[in-house]
Amino acid sequence: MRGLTGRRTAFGRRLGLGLGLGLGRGLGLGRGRGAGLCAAIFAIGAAVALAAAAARPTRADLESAQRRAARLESEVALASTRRPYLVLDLEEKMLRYRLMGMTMREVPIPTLQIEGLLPSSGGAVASPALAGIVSLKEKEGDPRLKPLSPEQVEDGADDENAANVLPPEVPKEYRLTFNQKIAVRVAAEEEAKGVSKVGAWLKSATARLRGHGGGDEMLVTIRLALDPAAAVEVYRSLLPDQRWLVLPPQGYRLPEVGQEPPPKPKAARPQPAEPARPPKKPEADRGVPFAIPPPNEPPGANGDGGTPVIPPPDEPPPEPPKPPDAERLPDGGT
Amino acid sequence: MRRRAILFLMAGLFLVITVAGYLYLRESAPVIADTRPLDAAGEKELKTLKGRAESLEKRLLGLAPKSATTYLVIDTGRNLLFMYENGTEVLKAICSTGSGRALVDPERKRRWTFDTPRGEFFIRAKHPNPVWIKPDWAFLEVGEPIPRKLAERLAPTELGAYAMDLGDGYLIHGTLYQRALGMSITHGCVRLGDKDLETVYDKVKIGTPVYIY
Repeated sequence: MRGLTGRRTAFGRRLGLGLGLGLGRGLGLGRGRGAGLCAAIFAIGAAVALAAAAARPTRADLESAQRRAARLESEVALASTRRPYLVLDLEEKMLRYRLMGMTMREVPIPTLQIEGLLPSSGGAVASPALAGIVSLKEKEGDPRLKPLSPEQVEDGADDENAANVLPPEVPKEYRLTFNQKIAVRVAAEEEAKGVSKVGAWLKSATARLRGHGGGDEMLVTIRLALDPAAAVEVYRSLLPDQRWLVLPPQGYRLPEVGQEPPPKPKAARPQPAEPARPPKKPEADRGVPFAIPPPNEPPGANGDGGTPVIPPPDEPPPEPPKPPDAERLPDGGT
Repeated sequence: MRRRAILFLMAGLFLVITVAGYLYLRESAPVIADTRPLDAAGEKELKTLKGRAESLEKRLLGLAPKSATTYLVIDTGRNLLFMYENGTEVLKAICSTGSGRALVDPERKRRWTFDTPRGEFFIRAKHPNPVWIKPDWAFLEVGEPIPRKLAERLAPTELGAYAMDLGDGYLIHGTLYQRALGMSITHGCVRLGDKDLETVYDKVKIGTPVYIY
């Protein structure tokens, strides 16, 4: 290859020199100037050729487009459910809360470890492998799994620090399992620097060797080390059956973990309208109990054949209901 | 003997460094982009994919609320309520949301989970001076017998000065327990401090969208 390039270069140089001499003579320039002009033309030509090659789409571009289309297809379906979902973007190291096409919150993932992804070999890849929809089954230590005991209920009656009064404690490290063969482990970790960074890496590496990252029958295990406050907030925000969209990094794809098909769109809840206000009466009409009816004509006189309803003149108008001082609310609240 | 020990130590160290190096390299190996140019079929597929992505992008944008509206956003993880007007955040308030706890009534075999629901909601009604009719769980939770008379269920001050109904018994309302704001402690409703509650109550109308995540 090198030899071929060398030959090409030498040939090019000779060709360039010859052309330069000819062109220089033709334009009445000196030998040196002609060669310089020709070299400049060649340099421009080479730059144009390089730019053209760079502009030409590559297989990497196709893969990016496939990923983008797969992500958007899943996102449109998830957004149409009108419920929030999380996007675990392993390429950008970001956890995004999305709802109806809006990004509600972004949580950066400083440290990320993934096991079980497959290299994308190029060519056609199914959408679920590039943007997989999974749904949360359980979060470790979920308070809903342990209903309050009768003792805790009794304690709560007189102790304001009892279990049912304080918010449930959030574990520092927790595992999220999904209805698919994928597990996410979230750890609250301070940002490690220098030696502690090496220590943190060794710790996580040994944890993975021990199968600490999710193990079992899981095909994909992901370990997220988040800022301690963010780890707690993520835990609190998670509900069972919440959908996640997992986006593998460029060059990788998800194995078949049982990804869900895109969910069906959900119709919007009916938006209640502001109750119509009664039209304001003109100043002159104030105090008049009811509108004066049109003159009573015999049936058929105006051509419609109907009988107009005339309220009895002595009957007082119905009183509007009194606004309650305090409104009672239905079952629910707090 | 000493030489042998040193030899073993060196061998062990070498092994550890090798394994660590392998793991590190495996993790940090960069993915090399495939820069081979596409053929005609590939270019056509790329064009189709780009067109499809653009149309999907438009559909996604169409689902978001119109910027010229007032809407509320509730972040259950951080216990924050945001109010937006014309796409700009005009209020950021600390609130309290559902604890996620469960309560069981062993006698009647009932179970409640105190979650704040997630998704898109609308303000369905606005109530000044709301009176809370305490449901059964409110008594069970504190170990009290469930009363039979309605009058014994009424709690006139518990919900604060205003309540805004989200449907299904969930409300945005005030609280007597101001120091618990910012905690995931409620039975599913969203509690706000007095001042923020008044601001929100004044600004929202029936039909104002509320997005909870």
